[in-house]
Amino acid sequence: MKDIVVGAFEVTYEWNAGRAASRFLEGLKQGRILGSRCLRCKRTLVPPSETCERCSGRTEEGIEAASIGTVVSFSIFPRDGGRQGIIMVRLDGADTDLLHLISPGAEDTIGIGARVCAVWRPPEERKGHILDIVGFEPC
Amino acid sequence: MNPVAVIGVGQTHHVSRRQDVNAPELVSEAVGEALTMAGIEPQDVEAVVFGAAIASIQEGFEHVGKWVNDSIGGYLKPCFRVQTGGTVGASAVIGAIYMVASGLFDIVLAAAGTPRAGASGAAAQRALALASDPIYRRGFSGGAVLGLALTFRQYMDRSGVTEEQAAQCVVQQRSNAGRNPFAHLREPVTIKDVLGSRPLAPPVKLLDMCPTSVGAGAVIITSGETVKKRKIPAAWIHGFASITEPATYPGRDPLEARAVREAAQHSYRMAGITDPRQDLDVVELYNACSYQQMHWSEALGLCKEGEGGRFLDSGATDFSGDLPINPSGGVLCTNNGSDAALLRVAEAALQVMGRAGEHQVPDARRSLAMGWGGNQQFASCIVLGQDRP
Repeated sequence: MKDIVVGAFEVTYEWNAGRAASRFLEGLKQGRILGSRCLRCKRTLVPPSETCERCSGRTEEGIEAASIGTVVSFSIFPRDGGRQGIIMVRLDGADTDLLHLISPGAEDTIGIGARVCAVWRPPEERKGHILDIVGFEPC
Repeated sequence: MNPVAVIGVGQTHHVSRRQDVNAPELVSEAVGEALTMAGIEPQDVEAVVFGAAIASIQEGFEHVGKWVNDSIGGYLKPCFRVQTGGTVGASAVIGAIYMVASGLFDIVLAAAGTPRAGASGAAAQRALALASDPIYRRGFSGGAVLGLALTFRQYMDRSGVTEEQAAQCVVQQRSNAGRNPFAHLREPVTIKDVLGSRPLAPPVKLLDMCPTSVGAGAVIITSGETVKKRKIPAAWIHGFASITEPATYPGRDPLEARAVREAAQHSYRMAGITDPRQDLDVVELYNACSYQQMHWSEALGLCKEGEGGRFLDSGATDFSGDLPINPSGGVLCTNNGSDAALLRVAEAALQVMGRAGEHQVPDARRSLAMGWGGNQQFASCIVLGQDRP
């Protein structure tokens, strides 16, 4: 005897970005990539957090990382009938890697070690969102 | 540490879908097997540690453990649920080990498993997406497969292993699963099958990945005193560790696999193992993706750095080799997100107890079980042996 009951539900959430992420997202609106630097171990965290995840040190805010960096890894996969490229990039000045997109059209030009630059949305279209950066492409 | 041992192990036959059992009934099957092997009654169990990964979304039921406790002897006893992503099953066993080793409890049940009520793979992907940061990460779809793809590519770049070698891992594991009646995917595959399978997130293809399985497992932990008193077979805990890395995937170095390294080193130190390649007879490691058994071979110190591919090619890790990896077929062939790591401990215990049936490795005196979860946030290692420490 196998009875199956079907159900579904929808829930709406409002996630607090938090202090560190809010500063990062505001920075994106201005075309800047901001991180935080641990006062104890001196690592620069991009995106920023208030506490260093390795040494539990407090961090100082507003450290600007470059919009250019080096590809650490990537994957390009089929999506919505086209392709999407995901990239892990070590921005110059950062001690952590940023997960983001390969700028549409640049997928075949990416390799580990490539130097890539952020492609920004026009200033009037930025919303304080991780996708204010469209993606990364070779410089 | 007070001597502590596994005296009972249970698992269900893992399949794609079960429509006959709810969560309590499913987990009870595995618990019943473990109780029978241990020769104890549910009333003898003094505490329960239940492991469930990403359960709320996957099961549409907040805190599956709450529901399951009633059917696995939890009444009037301490019952805890643990959650460490994919290694949750091993964490549940480690929780039970802590409790018995403390001297406060004598017989503790660790159980894990879920019926996967989320009716499609989309539920699992939605659940995994929910495990990532809503501000920075959630917009980039890809879940666990994406993280594996990024590390697989880095590992190939740094160590020189190929997709063909990763495919050979799948061939080997499926061949092993053919000897394990409890495994999910048991049919042989060829390298060509793997390389030609649908790309998910390159370099990861469909057959590089573990399945989604329905099943449950259980392990019963007791004290050395009880083993002596009851004169029952046991798999002794020689060493173990749980290690945690930062939550955000870009915040750690996935190639370094530091949590795995440290968990292994700590466990070996406790167990008095200085040369794991020689001192271990069988390894059950957490391979959610094909290439991982090569990567973990290095991180677990079973071979030298950068030698994971050569180690595979040597045949040493085949079922007939001198250090078989995953005679059960591993996670690659059987993956219930909740019991996958518990089964590594269960299988490692069965090996040293001589109870692994058709997939028994001859003369298995010492084994290693390894779990991995939360997209590399958590790692667990447990060394088991035939001899009382």
